[in-house]
Amino acid sequence: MELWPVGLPQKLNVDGHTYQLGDPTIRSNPSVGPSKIRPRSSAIASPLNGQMFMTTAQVETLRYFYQVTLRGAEVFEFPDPERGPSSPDVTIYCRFAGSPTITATHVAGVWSVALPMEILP
Amino acid sequence: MRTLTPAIIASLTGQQTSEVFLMLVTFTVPGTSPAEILRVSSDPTERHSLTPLIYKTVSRGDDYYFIPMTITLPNDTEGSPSAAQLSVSNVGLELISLLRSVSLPVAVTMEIVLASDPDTVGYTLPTFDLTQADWNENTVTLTLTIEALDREPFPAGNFDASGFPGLF
Repeated sequence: MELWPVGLPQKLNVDGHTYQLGDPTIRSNPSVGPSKIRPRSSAIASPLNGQMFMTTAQVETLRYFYQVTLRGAEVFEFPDPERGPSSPDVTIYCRFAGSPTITATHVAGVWSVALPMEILP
Repeated sequence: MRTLTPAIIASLTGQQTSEVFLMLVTFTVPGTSPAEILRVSSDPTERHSLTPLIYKTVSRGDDYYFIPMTITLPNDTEGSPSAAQLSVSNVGLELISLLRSVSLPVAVTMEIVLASDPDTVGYTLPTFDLTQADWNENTVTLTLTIEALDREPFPAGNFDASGFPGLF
């Protein structure tokens, strides 16, 4: 099991941090009356999106981690964004839901990196 | 008419249910000893391993590994052909080696169970023969049929004493 690299930021920025509980249900769409609803799956992934500021060296570390170590597909342990001070080492099982997007900032040598991930059940 | 378990009937007729319906599919390759069997499930009921990431359903002591799939069951209309279509995700390439290795029709058994009680089979479809398989990089489409007994070559057409006593 791969770990999120120690040399990268361990927390997501507040801006752009969204976590959505995966919806396992399917609903009917009646013209009148309440819908019928049932779960389609016992387990479903939950989307986790966030951003980090990284230096150029950290972006290179991320590139190697994503393209070589994980090949874009493997599962890795990521620091739990909801971890508290009493449990700093709690991790969650994640996978990239898409490729990271690296955007330039107004600060030389600092990049804004968007990380689309999914938390696995 | 299909006979279903009370739990499935209650789930189907309720306004809502927390039950997850899933299909267990067993592929049995004829003529292999020991029998070559591939068991797959339509539901990731529990995690089997993280590396590689595999989910499974355990039913009656056997592991059915999760592969996303959609199933079109044969309908109950009288006279219609008993054919089912099984579309299986081909991203993991799990079925390809099996499909390329067989020369006889693979027997396919499909069972419907509830995820909360996978040991109790709610409904079992008759064993199908895998008669056609088409695949691309995304999907394997399997056509499953039940062999028509009225087209069997034996014993139809035999002029023997039991069927045609006047000839003897």
